[in-house]
Amino acid sequence: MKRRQEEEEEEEEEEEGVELDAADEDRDDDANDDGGSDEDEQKERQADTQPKQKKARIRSNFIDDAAEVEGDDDEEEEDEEEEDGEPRKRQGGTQAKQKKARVRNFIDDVAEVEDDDDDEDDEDEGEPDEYEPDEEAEEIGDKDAELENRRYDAERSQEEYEKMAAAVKARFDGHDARQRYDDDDDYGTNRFQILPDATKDPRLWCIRCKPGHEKMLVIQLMQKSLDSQHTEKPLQISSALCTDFKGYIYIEAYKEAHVREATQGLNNLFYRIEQVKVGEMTDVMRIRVAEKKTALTRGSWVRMRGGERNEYRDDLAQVIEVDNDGARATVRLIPRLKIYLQNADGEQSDRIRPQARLFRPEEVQRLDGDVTGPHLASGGREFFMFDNQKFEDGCLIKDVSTRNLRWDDTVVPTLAELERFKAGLGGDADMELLQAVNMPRAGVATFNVGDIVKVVDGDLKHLKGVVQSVAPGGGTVTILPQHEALTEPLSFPAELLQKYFKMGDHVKVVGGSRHIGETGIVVRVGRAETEADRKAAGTSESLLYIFSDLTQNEIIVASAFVQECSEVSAGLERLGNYDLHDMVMLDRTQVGVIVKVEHSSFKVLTTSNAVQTIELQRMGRKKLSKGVVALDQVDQKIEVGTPLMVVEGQYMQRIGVVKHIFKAYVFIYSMDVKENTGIVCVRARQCRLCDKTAKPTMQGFEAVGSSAPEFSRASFVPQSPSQLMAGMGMGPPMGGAMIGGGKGGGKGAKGGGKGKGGKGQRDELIGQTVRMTKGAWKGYHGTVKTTNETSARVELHGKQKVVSVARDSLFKMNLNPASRQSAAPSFSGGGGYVSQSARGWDDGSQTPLHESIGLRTPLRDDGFRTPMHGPDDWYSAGSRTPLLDGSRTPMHDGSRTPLHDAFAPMTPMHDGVWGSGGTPAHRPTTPSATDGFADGGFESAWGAMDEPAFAAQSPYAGLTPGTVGTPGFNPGSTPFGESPFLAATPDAGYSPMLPRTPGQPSTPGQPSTPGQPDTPGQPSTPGQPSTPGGPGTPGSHWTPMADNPYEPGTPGAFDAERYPDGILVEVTNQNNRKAKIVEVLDDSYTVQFLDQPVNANVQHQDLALVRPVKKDRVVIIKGIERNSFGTLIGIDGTDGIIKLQANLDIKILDLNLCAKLAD
Amino acid sequence: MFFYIEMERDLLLLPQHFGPNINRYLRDKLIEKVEGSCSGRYGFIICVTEVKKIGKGRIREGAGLVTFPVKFGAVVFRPFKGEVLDAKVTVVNKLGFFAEVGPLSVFVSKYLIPTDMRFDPQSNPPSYVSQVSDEQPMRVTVASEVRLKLIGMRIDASEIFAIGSIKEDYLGVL
Repeated sequence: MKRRQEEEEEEEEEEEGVELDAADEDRDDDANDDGGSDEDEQKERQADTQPKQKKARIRSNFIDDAAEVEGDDDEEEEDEEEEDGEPRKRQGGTQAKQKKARVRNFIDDVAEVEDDDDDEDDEDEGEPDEYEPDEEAEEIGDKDAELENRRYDAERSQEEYEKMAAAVKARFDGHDARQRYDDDDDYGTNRFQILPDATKDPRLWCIRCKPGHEKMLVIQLMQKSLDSQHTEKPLQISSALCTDFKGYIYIEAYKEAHVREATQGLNNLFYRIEQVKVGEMTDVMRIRVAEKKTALTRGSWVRMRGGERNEYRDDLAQVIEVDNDGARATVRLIPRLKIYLQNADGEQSDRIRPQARLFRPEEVQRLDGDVTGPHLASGGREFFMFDNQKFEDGCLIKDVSTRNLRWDDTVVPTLAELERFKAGLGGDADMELLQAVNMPRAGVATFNVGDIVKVVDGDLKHLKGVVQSVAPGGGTVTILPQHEALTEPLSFPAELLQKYFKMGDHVKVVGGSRHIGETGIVVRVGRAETEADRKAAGTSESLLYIFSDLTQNEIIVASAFVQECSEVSAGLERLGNYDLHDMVMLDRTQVGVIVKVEHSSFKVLTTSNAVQTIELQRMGRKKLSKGVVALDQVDQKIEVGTPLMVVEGQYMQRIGVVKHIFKAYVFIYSMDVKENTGIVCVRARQCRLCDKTAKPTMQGFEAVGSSAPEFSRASFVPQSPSQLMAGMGMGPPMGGAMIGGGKGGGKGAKGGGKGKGGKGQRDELIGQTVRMTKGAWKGYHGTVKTTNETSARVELHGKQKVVSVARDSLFKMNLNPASRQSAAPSFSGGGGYVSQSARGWDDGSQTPLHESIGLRTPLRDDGFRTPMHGPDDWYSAGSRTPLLDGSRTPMHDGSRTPLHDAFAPMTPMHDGVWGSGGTPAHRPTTPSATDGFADGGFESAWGAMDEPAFAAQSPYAGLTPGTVGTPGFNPGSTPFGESPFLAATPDAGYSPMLPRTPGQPSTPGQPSTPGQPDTPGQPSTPGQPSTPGGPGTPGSHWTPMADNPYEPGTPGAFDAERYPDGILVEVTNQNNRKAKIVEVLDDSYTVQFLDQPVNANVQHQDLALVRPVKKDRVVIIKGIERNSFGTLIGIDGTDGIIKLQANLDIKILDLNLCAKLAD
Repeated sequence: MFFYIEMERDLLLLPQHFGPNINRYLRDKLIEKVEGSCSGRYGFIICVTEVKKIGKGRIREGAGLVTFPVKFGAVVFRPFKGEVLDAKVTVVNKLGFFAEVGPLSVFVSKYLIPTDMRFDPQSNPPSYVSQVSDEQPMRVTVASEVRLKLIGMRIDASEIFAIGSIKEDYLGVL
């Protein structure tokens, strides 16, 4: 009898829908103890093939029941006997069940209900497999022949259920429920009068029941109570309830006897009744914090539950679909196919758990698996069917009950598992998977003091408050409620709280998503509106839609990761070693600039103006654009920091500042571009320098290559103050010199190889001592480290700090008064510069820079200045600099005395300057400017210039005494007459040597330039001559070296510049009397005054060229055309149009390069 | 909301402007410096109506500049949360639209636009259109005038940015 009953119970478990009836039926059975009903026996008979294992299961059920149904001991024994005696029957029972199960595959309801109990079964018996629909499905698939049979079974069992239900109902109305106890009346009616006193209230009794049956029992009790209400013996209990607490129901009653009476005959209840202590009664009613089971969401990782026999137990799976009520989910698994276990005989071993490996249709087919497909799924994906299972991308797609899934915190996919999935899903799986892994669990918010939070669960749900304190670890949060009745701070577990935001709040993303660090204003609060939104935020609950300050875009973030703030962030600016706007190599030929830093990746703008997302791990190496140059549309030099206007293409009219340069591309940061944080990539040739203050840094080239006015501008609008000085003070000659220098530099680079070539355009502010006249650092002194068009980085003297200040707020601290008066005669100007430059020299690498541009730096290199200084008493500054020391110190020492002394150190120097520096400089100017740059040769020059080292060396190298004496430069050998002068120069510049090279000035080269035109520019600046020569010289240095045979010998000579004889000059210390140079001595000139035939010995600095006028015959004293004769046929600003005598070429040259012949 | 308030600013004047026109210079400079500026506290300074007092200048040490404290009255526009304003639409995109209330830029997110107004990317310029069938469709597009309510603001030292809504009664296209 008992057996039968128990079987029914099992069925009940599987079918909650009919549970009530079934339970009643039990009672029915109890009542009609004697003899099983026909149905039961029939059932037993069916069950003849029940597998042995089933026995344990049945047994356990049986025992449970025994416990429940107290007082049926006799029955139990009877059952026991039955069992012992008729194992066959038991088997039959299970088989019946199996069959039933099969049937259920055809009857959805039944199957569904059964599922509900699955996990209980799992827990109880550890054999969930029996009930897994999938396995059943397999069986069906295998045995179509049994279909008929099963249908029959189904029908029959259905009938049975109905009958049973009817019987139970009939019996239910019987006497059992109507019992009454006499002592009931003591309580009841007036008990409400003493309500406040809990001690006199009904007590709460706690009864254990079978887990999962709590609700049903309570309903049964209610039913019972209702039924008996109007009978003589209503139930004496006050209430019955169950909580979330599994396995217990509570009954409110005055006496245990009442409880016992009420529960009489109820199934699934255990015998023991306990009284709940008065103090704990309220606890029973307390709403427990809902089990923190986050909803299963698409993409999340889960693990399969299951007993020993489930081959997928504990396997990782990814949810790809969840049904509406969250009861069933479709998951993606790495299949464990039994077919792979087939041994040679074709038998499959059930014992061994198949290995997880991706499904490969071909492999399975090879093993004689019946694979069908590929079929086309709705999403355009292909899938295969095998063994009634669906395979997609190598993964098994399985529909399971969510009860069979585990998705708590402990589910952390291992890397190996993920790799396997990745392999199956292919490339595009990457993001999806990673996202799923990296996704922090939403809802676990970290709270900060001051956050406004909302209680999301418990009895104070919806209460708002302000966080007052957070316990260490963040587990408990104390909030001050915003509620009129609650004035005391309350503590909550963090899980109960949620950050609370309103529309319009300004917030910052502090974690969780890839938007971390961004700020914005909340425009919407609520659930995810679309699937995409949910995906973006990683959760669908309490999302914030934020209008980002940074990107003016909408971002969606879970509120847990957001914090109210007032600051405006520019987004993340740094990740790993990479900063926003850094340029990185993407591959060997491509670069990109970081336009957005995300949580663990970057958005990178490539040269094709496309944005790529690149993870931190895949980022290439950073690339610096320092020192890289490009040319704009009109060949002006573009560097980092150069303001540009885009003049062609998509970004036409945009103005921005160069951030990076890569080959022909420049990355411009433009304020008016909204996308990509203002970075756009354009070709350098599509741009143009746009700032008026931007100087054409390659004036030299430009000047020569372009029209006269430009040229003049070039010479007169040097970027650096020193250039200005040169322009102003030195006038025309300077300009020429500069140009020469520039070119020379270029060429030198070409010819001289690595060692030579300067760094392009060096701002001569660099290295200078300045005082800030504006801003926060006003009044501070410092040394300029680097500069750009508008600002300079200044290392403060008073503080260990480098600050950035606007250029125009810098005041140069010249140690010598002369240097301050920039308008003063060039000489003083020169002096000033020199002193300034002296600092620059400290840094070996810097000097070269100067030179490369050639204009100023060269001067210094050559050391012209030093001499100049000497006369001005500033040379000392020059000599101080360490660099100078290297090469110059000796000179200074040596020269100093002579210079300063009565001796005329200057003259020689000057001579040197002009002779060597000047002359060579000239040459380079014209040709190199035109050629070098025009033909792209300049590039190499630039490249070379990038080498800072050379600069330092080369000048000095040039200066070396040995060179001075070298015969190679002799005038005859060089086409240019200059060479002789060159020789002289070294000596002049470098004191020790000078004395030795006196002879050179007189070299025949000079004779070639008989006329000594007065140079107008020079007169004013006695010192100048040296300066102009200087700038040109270094450049010229190299140039000659590169292409001229005479150069090797001449290096020394270049330092100074000398006038050829035969030209007209003004003697500045004699009221600018005009004179003709008749002889060039090594450190002075012999001149013949025009107004009286008197010869005089004059120092170089006392001479100034006479500016030629139209139709004058001139000799070119500098540059590649040096010593060429020509006729000035026109004047354009500061440029002269000269027709060369030799080949009738028309040249446009700075007038300062031309000396008027004294004919 | 507009306010008339008195404010004080320190103005720096170069020595070259010292002379008979110094007051004019100061006034010009004040207007140049202050009008159209925005402070987080007072909002946008729309107009300087009068210069009330120019204090004694102080020469800055080490520089020839002189600092004058200037008191002036000005009309300021200070937006507030919840304020209803008329605005002119400047940009419309799928996220919503931007509108300007004088100097104040306001963004109205699509979530704050009535649900019956849909973004119509086909129109040129793009617009939000209300799909009321029988009437002339309501359209929010560039240059439309809308009445909106400020629901949030970001106030920096020198900028105010606001989020607005037209999803309430009596708000929307004018």
